[in-house]
Amino acid sequence: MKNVPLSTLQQWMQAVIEHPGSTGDALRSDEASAHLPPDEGLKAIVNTGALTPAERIGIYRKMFFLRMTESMAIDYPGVKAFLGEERFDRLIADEYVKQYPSSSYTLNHLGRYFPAFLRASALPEREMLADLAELELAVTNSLDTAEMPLLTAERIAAIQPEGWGDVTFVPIQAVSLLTLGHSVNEYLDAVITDDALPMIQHRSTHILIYRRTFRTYWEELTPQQYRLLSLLLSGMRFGDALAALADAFPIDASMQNDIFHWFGDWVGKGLFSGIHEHSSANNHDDEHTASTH
Amino acid sequence: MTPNKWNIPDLGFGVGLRSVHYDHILEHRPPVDWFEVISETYLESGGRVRYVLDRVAEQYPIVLHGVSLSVGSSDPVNFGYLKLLKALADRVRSPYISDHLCWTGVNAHNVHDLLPIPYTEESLRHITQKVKQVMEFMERPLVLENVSTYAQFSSSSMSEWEFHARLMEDSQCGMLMDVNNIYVSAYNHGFDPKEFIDRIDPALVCQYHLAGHTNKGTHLLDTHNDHVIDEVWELYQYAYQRTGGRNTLLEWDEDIPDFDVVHQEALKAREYRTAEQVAPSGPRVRPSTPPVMRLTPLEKNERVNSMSHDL
Ligand SMILES: [Fe+2]
Repeated sequence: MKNVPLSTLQQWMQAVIEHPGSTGDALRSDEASAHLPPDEGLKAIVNTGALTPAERIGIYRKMFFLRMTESMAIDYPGVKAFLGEERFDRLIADEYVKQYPSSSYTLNHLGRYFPAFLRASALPEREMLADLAELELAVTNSLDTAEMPLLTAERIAAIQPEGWGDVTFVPIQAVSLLTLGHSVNEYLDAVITDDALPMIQHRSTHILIYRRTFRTYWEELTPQQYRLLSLLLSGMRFGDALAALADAFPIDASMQNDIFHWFGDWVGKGLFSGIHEHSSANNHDDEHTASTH
Repeated sequence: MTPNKWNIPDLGFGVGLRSVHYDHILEHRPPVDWFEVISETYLESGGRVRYVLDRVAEQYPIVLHGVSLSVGSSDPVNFGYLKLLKALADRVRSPYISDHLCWTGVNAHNVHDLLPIPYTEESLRHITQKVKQVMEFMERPLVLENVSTYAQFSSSSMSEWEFHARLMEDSQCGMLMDVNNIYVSAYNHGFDPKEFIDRIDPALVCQYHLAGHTNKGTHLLDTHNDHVIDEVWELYQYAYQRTGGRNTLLEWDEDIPDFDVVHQEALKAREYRTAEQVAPSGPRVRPSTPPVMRLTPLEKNERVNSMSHDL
């Protein structure tokens, strides 16, 4: 068993480690056999002591699948709760990591493709599970974004009434919006708080996800709130965003009042980092005041 | 006492920084000599882990310990990863960086485990080249840790210690001697752990690791989930007599107890530094902090350092 090149030995061992099923299945798999036939592979490992070569490589195999399923369970507690541990672990071990093996220095990136994987899967609940996973991925992603200074009440108070139509906002990095086809937010709430799991409804659901002082929150928005907030987060001028909202929804006096409260709520939640005042001339890009930070 | 080749100062008795202890450390500022942090957890995060790291770095010396360098892989050096690592090392002023003499994947995969390498002339040439590239890029010493292994390759033409010693001679890297890993591998493969220690030039040992493991009868698993056993403490003492003052760090990665328990375990090392018989300070009892879901990304990278005792 001399002179197996390093790259051959490593490609063989990796193929055996990554192959689901038993160690025997893995040794006989096409992926492993492409580098070393099963008997030669086993001879590559010293046969000594209380463990056989297959048992020795089996330790690495077990650890690999345990790490992958544990890592995914941390990022996707909702999907795991829905599928149950056994079904979740099998899905990760047998299919997901085979299709999307980690190529990052960190396990924190392992779950990036899980929503897309679920949506393309043959699972009967795939659309709903993919929606749930999208929410969970947005929550995970919010944890790593940079902390930013927040827009202050004083800065907002300094805006002249006639200037409001032309202000734009700089969102914090840790804010995102999702529109999903299922009410998965209530389900995830219940999983996290360990409450009785509600039925997931098939209905269009708008969700705001944001992090504040390192803690991530998510909540459902009405279609009107969602429309206005998404326009503001995209950098549209406040006046233009209100006009676009009025085009899509009738705005009466009570809704004007609502908008005032929504906006105050969003500022209070720390969704914005800065504000820009622009001149009200035709040239919308003519910025004359810098943001707060 | 033998000075180490790079004159890295003896920082004393450190503890691995783990997310379950963040709140305790920020609130109580425990008198720990230094912290070792798992580099991968902090490379790109701008969230809470980065905030905590910056606060800790203001108060304590920090050394970066990586798990994804994969210096033993037949893949080339990943300079994208090194660029992030260098920026982090500069940010926390890590005097040197450490990782493991192992591979973690090939063909750009990462299986997130510390896999054994065949101790051959081919491996030695290849890894020597990679280590030189890493040190040149990082502009600071690279210190490689011996890992716990569960398999050895028939193609090996030398022992692990001979390989490690020759690698250090050829590439000018240093050694992070994990005494628990020597003990675990010695049990798993039937060699004398003292022979391993005897064959390493003490001037090249820059740091020690201590940790607990799990005895499965047929083999030992490097689980980092318990106190250090007496035999490993004695091995530390044996090694320490040859090197004298070296950074010593306790790792605890599974079933992690309150911070003070981990800290006290690290301070036990004082009793085994025969030249420096200093009594450890008294226990500082503090309530533990309950984990809060989704407050911070759980530090999965830390677990790459160890095996699960569920195996
Ligand atoms: Fe270690």
